[in-house]
Amino acid sequence: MSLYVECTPGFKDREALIEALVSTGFDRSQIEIHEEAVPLYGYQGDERSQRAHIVIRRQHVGQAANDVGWERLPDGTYRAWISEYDGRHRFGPETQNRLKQEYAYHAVARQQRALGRTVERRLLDTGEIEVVIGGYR
Amino acid sequence: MRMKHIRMIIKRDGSCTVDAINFTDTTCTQATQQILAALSAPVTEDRLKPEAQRLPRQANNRREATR
Repeated sequence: MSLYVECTPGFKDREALIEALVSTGFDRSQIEIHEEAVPLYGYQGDERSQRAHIVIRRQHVGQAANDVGWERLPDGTYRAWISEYDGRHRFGPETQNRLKQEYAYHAVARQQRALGRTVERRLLDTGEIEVVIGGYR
Repeated sequence: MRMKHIRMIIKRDGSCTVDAINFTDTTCTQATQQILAALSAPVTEDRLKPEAQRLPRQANNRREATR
């Protein structure tokens, strides 16, 4: 019996999200983690109305950048706060897609390794990531 | 032949396909659901693979041929 499923992941695993951010080029020391959401600041140091639990401050994002953050919602998923400016620069569509790709890998790899399974990863020529999970009995 | 395993492809837009391969029973559903739980992912498509759907009829044809 075989089953084939297609899906679109959502950010819910905090550690996987942090690992995905590291995979997209940030140092772990640049990523703030807060139990309570904290304010985000704009490029002029102005406090924004958005708050987040995972934050990368603007000096690590780029020149004239704003803080970017991920706010944990009541259902446990994370919502990204990325300004329109940063969405055209450091966090453009390519980076955001890469973040989703890396998140999916890390979320599954963390879960499956905790269950004692083997996880192999391979980057394909198409830019897709192939993950093979073994160790089923 | 490779043991039962999951092959997952993470596309460039972050969407995923999860394919349970060489499972001989309904544990393939359980294995797939585990992956989906890790992804917090709503399923956009879910189907038995065509070759899996053909197998019962082929097996029946073989039985009929040996009668």
